[in-house]
Amino acid sequence: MNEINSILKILKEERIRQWDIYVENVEEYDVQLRNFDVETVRGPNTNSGYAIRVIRPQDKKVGIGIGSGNSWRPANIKRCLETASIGARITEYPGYGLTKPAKYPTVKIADSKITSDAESVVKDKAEELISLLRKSRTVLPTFGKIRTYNVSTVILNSEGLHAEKKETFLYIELALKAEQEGKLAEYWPMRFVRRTDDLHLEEEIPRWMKLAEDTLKAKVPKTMKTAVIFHPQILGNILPDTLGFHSLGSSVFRGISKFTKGEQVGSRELTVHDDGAFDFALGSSPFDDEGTPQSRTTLIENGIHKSFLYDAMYAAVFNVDSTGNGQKLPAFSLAFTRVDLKYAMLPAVQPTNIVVEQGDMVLDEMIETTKQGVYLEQLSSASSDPVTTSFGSEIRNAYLIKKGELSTPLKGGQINGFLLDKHDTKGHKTSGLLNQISGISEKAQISGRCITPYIRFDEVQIAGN
Amino acid sequence: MNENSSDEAKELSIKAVEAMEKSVEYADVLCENAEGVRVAKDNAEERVSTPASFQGVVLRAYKMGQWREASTYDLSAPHVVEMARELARFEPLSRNSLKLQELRPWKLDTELNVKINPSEVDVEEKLKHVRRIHNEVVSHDKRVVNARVFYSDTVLERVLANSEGSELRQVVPRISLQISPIVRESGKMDYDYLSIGGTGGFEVVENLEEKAVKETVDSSVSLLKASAPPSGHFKVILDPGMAGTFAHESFGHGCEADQIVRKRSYLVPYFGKRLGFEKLNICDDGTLPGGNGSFLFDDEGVRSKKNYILESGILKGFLHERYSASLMKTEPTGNGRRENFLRKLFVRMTNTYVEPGDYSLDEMIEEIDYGVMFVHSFSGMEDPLAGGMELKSKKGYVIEKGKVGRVLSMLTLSENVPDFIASIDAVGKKEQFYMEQGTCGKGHEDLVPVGDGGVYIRAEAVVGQG
Repeated sequence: MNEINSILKILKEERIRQWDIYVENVEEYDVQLRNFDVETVRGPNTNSGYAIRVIRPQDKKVGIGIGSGNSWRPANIKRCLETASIGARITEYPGYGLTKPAKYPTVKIADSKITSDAESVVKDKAEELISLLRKSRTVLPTFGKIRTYNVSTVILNSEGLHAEKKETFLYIELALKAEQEGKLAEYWPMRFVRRTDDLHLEEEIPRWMKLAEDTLKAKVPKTMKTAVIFHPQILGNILPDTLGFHSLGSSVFRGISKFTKGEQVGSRELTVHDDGAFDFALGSSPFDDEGTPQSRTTLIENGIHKSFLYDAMYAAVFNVDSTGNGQKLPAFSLAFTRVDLKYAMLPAVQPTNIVVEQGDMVLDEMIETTKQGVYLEQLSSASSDPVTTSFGSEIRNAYLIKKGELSTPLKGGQINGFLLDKHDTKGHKTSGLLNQISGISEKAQISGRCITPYIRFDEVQIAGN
Repeated sequence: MNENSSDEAKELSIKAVEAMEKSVEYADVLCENAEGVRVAKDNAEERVSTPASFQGVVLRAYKMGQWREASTYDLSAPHVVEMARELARFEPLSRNSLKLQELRPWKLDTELNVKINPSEVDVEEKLKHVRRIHNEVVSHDKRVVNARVFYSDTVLERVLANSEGSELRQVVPRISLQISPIVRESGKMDYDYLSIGGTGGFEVVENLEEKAVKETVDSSVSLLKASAPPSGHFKVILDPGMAGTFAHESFGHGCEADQIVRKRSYLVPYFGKRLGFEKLNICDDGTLPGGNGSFLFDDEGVRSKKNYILESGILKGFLHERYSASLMKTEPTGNGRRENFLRKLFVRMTNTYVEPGDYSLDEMIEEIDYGVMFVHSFSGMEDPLAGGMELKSKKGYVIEKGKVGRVLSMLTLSENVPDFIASIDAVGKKEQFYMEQGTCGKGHEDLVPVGDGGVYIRAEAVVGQG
């Protein structure tokens, strides 16, 4: 707090009237593995960054400038403030209102094991991982990394807002190799969670190893249109960049949202929320990055589009309340959040956690009721184009489904499509994936900035031999 | 970093190395300071953000086969020296007897020369240029519903000292400008993009011609008539940016020697063997003028250089940092890089490209009965163990009976890499050569600036919607 006081002192000296300050302290530890060996132990790796925003109302618009840094020398804070003031003088935004103090919901976002002794957590998890990996003689790790984050954040503004939080993250990434008669196959999982208890290595490692082994027998699929069951991890990559993008108040203002309130945008079984207060989800917090309380907003209900998302800027523009979606995130690829360098970004309206409501089928039932199709576990990148909602990716780990059973493993070839309906210039419409849902599982998983079940889509394009 | 803070960084790194060197086999200290400006404009907002500074130091020590690192934003000398002393006392969790090979110490203190240093151009001038370009985009065609222009510059200073006695300082400025006009007609939306930049100064933006901006708008409009790409296995032509993405994603990652050490590269059995025809050369070159991945020394003090990965179709070499080079008894190649002081150093590419051959683009097209041309690289993903690949382009064309036909939007290409390389039968002429700027991740994170490019190539692959 002493350091923040030095910023407040300079703001007062410079007679800046409308401002906010975002301060983020991060401490990280990680262990990196090469095969079964510890290659590097890292930590503590610490950063303490701040961003100062200066807001300057103009005639009908608003100027906003931001300066950020991690040097707490008074000369550098002053320089930061100078650049923020220049930005506020020369830029044009459609509107803005600083967030007023508010009561925040209780949202669980920290793991006491990580807050109390992160270094031990990371070393213990590395030992546990090595020990589980040594149980197999046929599947071997090539690399692995485990990292903890302890993050504390303070937001203050000239309206008297003062919000503080402490949160934790645990990141794991590894690659598992299977080899037989010179043939190589891999499963390359990555998980980003809040708590050590969210990482179920004893259950996951054997499953991941089986995926690597099965991929040794994989074939390239044939070119076909077929039913495909998507793993939640894949949906966690695709949904925020597509469904999320078209749900933003900023996309509406720019005239590029494909959604209109009250229109059918998906199958009837589809209900989707944005929920920033979901305990232990990655995009959760008591407040957003502008200090607005987090809440739950229904985006799609039984396939009908219901609401858009707003930050303080687009709430002012549309004269509505902010939905608590002012986020310091990159514009695209929201699935992977840089938790350690957030402070330097300007907040913009973005989804928090996309929550897809569960269905009533267990995964086995979804497979059993698929006559012919594909079960998709992992894609190469699973990235998508927000504007067109087009996606396509190389298949990394999948299985053909024949007569309700998993059969031949698949690798290579591609899966392609559009998440939302596609129009041509003559007004003809082709149904997107959200309108082709034929099954949703009863269990959901946190995957990236999504909480989503398995979903089966009909008539998905596979490109292969 | 001003002159005073550069001197402080040099002094700090030497002191921290001194605090570690007697207790470990090798130590290095890297201080960094990044300053820059980002200006973004679209039809709704103008965003100017000016990170005043991002600075920090990372300490690294090696003992009995294991690295130990710690880093901090707090550059006060007593704090860093105490951290260094503490770090040097580490007990390795696992041990091996590998000694790092010693390199001859050297000294360097230099700044990459540019015509117009971006830190000497004030932010209002930068916004003025962004507004001009934005205006050129929106006024060129009524179908533009939103135009995004994004400018960024970074001046990155890195100071390194190590226990071998090297004392190095470099300042590398990078510029990036991206334009994406979103166009709409009768409910259909699409966009193309223009992306320029690399190591260089503000002249990169000043020299951008209105013609190039208008061509980007016209290209976006042409995508409104685009049809879905065909699905299946076809003859393909990759434009120089896509060829560079292929060289980087599908081939370069498998040549990173840390993947060899981890036993995670499909390329090991191919070392010294022919993979492609004799006119195919692929390089990684950290010295390429203007390349986004160019620098003078890497993040462990090894001089950058040009390395052939594939020479005359034969797999010639791998890319190394100190550890992999020591283990494989070869020289480090100047490819040890880290995203910033908070992140680990890995073997990383720099500027990766396909060297020119002797085919004109017309000749490549004329010889295809049915195929697909990929232009404007969108993304790529590596598969270093199994040798798969995925490349996406924003735009493409069908080629029918030797002629360029209908336009396509968002395409994906995938293939087994050795099969793809073996199928390359034409490499374009040097007049086609250009480099694109981008960033590269090691797996899912650790982004560093890189350049990808080269010339047109022709091959065979699976094609689908992107």
